[in-house]
Amino acid sequence: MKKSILFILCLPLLAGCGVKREYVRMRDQLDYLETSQKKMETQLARMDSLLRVQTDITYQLNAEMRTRWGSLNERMMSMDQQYEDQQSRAMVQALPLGSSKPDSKAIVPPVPPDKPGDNGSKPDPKQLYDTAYLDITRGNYDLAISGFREFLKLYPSSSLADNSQYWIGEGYYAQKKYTEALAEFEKVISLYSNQDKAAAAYYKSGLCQKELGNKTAARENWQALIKKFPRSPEAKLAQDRIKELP
Amino acid sequence: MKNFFLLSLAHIFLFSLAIAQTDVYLKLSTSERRPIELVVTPIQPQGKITQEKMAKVKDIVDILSDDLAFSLYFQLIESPDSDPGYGFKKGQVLAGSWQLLGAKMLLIPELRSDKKQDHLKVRIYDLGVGRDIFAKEIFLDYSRGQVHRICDEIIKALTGENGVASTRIAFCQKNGQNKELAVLEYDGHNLQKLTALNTITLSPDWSPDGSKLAFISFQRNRTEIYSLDMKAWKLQAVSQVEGLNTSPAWSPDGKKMALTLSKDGNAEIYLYTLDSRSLQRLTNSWAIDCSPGWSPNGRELVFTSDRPGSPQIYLMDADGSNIRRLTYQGNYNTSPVWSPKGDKIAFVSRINGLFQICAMNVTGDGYTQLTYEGDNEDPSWSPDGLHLAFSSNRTGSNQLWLMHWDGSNQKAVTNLGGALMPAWSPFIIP
Amino acid sequence: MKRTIYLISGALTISLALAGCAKKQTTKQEEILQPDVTAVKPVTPPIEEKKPEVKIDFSIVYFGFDSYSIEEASIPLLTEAARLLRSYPQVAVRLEGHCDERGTTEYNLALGEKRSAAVRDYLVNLGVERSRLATVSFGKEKPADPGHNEISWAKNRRVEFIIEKK
Repeated sequence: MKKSILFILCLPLLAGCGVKREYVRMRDQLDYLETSQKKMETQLARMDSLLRVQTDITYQLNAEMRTRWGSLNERMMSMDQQYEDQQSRAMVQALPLGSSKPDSKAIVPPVPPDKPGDNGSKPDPKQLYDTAYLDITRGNYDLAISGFREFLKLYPSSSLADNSQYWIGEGYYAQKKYTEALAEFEKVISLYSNQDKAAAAYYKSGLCQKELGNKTAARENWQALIKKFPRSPEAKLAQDRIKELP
Repeated sequence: MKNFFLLSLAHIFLFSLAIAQTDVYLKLSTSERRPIELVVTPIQPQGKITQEKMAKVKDIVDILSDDLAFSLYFQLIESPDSDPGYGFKKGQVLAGSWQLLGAKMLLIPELRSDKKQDHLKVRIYDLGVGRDIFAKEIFLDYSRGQVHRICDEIIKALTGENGVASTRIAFCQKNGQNKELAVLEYDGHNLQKLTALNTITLSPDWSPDGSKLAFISFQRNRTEIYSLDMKAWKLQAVSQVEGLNTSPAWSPDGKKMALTLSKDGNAEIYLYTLDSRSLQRLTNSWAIDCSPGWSPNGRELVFTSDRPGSPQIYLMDADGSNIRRLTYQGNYNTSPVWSPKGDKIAFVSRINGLFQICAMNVTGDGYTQLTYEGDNEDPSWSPDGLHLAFSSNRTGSNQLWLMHWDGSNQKAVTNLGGALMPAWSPFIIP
Repeated sequence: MKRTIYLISGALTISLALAGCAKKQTTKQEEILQPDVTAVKPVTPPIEEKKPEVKIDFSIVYFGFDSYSIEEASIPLLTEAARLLRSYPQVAVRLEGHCDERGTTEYNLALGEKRSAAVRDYLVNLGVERSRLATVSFGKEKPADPGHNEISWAKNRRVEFIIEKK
């Protein structure tokens, strides 16, 4: 009896030994898993921060490149602008009787032959032009138009001939005489198609057409402008106007 | 305000003399205007005059003299003698003694005392034809504004032109961190505060009829454009879009306003039609475009752009086309304003590190430096195009200054300090 | 003034504000993503350790006279600012452009706007959403230094960062 009791008492102990071995094994495994997870996490973290650094570098490169490109582009555009400004200024200053020729392909208006002895009585071209322009700014449009007409008659090959032709159109436009204005702006386009007033003349022709109710013609004018002078400020305005057309 | 006008109108009505003022005495063309040589004679008293009354009369005559001299329509010659009897014999003008001085006309102030009230008779006497060509009786208690109005009547009667003596100047008055709108008579008197918004207020611009002021306000911690109706005392928001809302400029017909907005990326000039509330973009550039100013005919705009790499003055048609550069001197030209006469544009130029008011012809020539001392900013033309108001710190604090169109006769009209951004009102025509 | 926090000198406040954000963010992460706090801890320091460095004038970008281009010297500062803004997407910033007293009022308002836009664009290129960056210009109206000399002027040609909301 006593033996059997002893055996029974020992049973759990024996069983306990087996369980413990199993337990130790499992704990070892868990420890292993935990360390490897920690390792992986550290590695992940390292990779994560590496990625962050890489992302930062990418962003920074992007920003620097864009900024540098932007400022280079701005500098280029401002140099372009300076060149354009100087060009048109040179034309204004090239008076009297500047050397800029109307486009070879364009029809040159017939030049009335100078009468002998007439040269001395010609008004100073700069003064004539300036007076006519001042009449525009003061709203004396008819005076301005006749002033510019006289300028064109006396100095048809002047570098300011296209400007004069443009201001004649503007003089009519300001008085809401759109048919007359259109005819004058179209002369700027046909006679001085590559000079600095051409883009503005295209734009204004479109405005005249619109005022006269010719929407299709207006659109065509603006489309021609965008095609011919895509980089001009007027091209951007023309895009806006086309969008506004019903 | 209204009462004030009515009162002054009544006075003028009552005392206008029978001299026909509808005819312009001397039709002077503005381009070949020669000033009229004029002597303001000593005050001619009639009867016994108290010293107090005499002082009042002297004040009125001084205001008139200053106004006439500043107008540029007159060249004032000083009377060689303070004795009221000089150059007169029994009340009659001795033309010769005045003509010797080079005078063409006399301004004769006569103080008259009758039982009811004392008043001053102001006569303009033409020495050539030997008679009065203008006369007006005024009370001694006239306000400065009323006296200024008399001066403008004289100018109108003699030249046919509108005078600026009764105009006013709006400006920004610094008050601690803030700037508020105020207005004063063109010669610096009678300062009136217009706003108490407790914020920064900038760039006042008069509507062409003089009834409203547009301005920039930082009420909501950013630039926005408001308009103050000075008759109804109502404040109205004009532009509150995202980004910049600056440099309001009323068109000469009052129907549109040119503005600087940055809602499409960077500072560009837009045309805002007030009735339809429609907005039209005028400039398209990567650079700063700002500070539009109208040509008197409303067909063109002058503006500042840094598209060539530094701020310069450009012109364009009021629809955004036909852009051309005006200034080539130096590397900082801003704040352009077009003369109401059409021929000149005044602007601010950085010269030797200081900011100076300059002017040039709209035709691209005639560049002239007008100021030389301290920093000078914010030019604003008088409505007749003969004078400029501006702010200057040449005396150590910012004051409003006036000068003639050619830079002559520069004088400060404020003494408080912190006075900036003057905007000269349109003509005030009763 | 809503909840705007001014960060004029040394940006002490910004690090505090961001520290506040950081705490909030980690608690959220605890709940959702990471059960093991101790294991994750070493991952965060790259940001937290660098925070003291951020204090170096995070708040102000300076410019040259009449210039709105980002200077070489501002690049590290902007890079760091962008990194912080990317890490804390709940933060929105108002960029206030200022000018020195030299120059005319209206042109300076436009110049201040250009400056704040230059900073905004740089941050956008560094991966910050444009919608979180508002620009405003005060021109020459709010100088940081009231002096009238080159040192004061240099301090006044600036863009300030102002935290708008969390």
